[in-house]
Amino acid sequence: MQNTLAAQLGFAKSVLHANVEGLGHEDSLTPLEPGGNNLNWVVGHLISAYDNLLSALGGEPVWSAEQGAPYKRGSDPVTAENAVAFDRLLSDFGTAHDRVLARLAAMSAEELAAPAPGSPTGNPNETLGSLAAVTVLHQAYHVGQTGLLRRVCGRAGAIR
Amino acid sequence: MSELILPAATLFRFNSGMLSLGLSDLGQEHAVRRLKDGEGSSIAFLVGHVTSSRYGLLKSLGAADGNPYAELYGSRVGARDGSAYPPIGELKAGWDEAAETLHAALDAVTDEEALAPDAAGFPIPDQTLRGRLTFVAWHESYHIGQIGILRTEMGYPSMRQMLYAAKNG
Repeated sequence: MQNTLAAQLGFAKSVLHANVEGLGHEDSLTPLEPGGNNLNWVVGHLISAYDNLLSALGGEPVWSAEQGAPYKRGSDPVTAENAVAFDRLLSDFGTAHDRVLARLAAMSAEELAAPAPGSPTGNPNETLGSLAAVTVLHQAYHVGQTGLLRRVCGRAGAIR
Repeated sequence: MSELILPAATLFRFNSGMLSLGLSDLGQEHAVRRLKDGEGSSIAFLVGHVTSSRYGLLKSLGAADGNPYAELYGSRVGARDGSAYPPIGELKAGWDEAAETLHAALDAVTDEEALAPDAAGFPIPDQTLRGRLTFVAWHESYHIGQIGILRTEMGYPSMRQMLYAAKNG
């Protein structure tokens, strides 16, 4: 199971890097539609999701709760006033990714079958393993959005 | 079903339900709307694209003879203005049908088949059917995420909200 999850998270990381190639901080604040979501928020949200998983798996989150607040689910799109520098976001994403993979690799099947402390989908039977699988889905979903947001920055799609 | 493909099969099932819900309230005008300056993918194109991808799998699994979506939505076909696309309700029905067929085909996969070499040549380390399923399930999620943001930017509820609403009756 860990191998499959790690492979899918690896896809997400590779494709994210392709989708942000050549984009800077100003680009990251370009909304899909006026007032809509932007790349900066999406990448920060990916880190926030990894941090939630790291907390559940007994790992060390990359951000404090305060740092992650502007990027939590349901928060407004970030603006020039509160956005984290885009290169910092990409670096923190890499750190969070590596920590998640390390935790998953270190856990046994029995540990992954343990109940999760909570469930983002309201699954009463959520285990640490199923929570990791939900996070894989979440990351793929939002990395897909970075493909569209790249295009609104005037760049050709990186993934065809 | 082989336990080896369970994580991918779970993702396929989740994607099946989520996308079906996400198309259930969508108007045709919004389904074919494209991003800024009328370029890029519309929801209709993305639905056809992921359905085409599923047919590619179904053919490999021996559960389909051809791919009726390849011409308009195949991997080498770009997004168009939508005038040639069928109504979104028809695309949804096609997705639902492909989903049912795929779920049944995955249920029949054995351990031996899961670990058999796969000739598709996807750029992934695991060149077996299991690896391909892992990749294609992820690829679907990627595009469903794009459909999700297009929905919300056009004022529709998020697919997450749709899921909760469906779950809570």
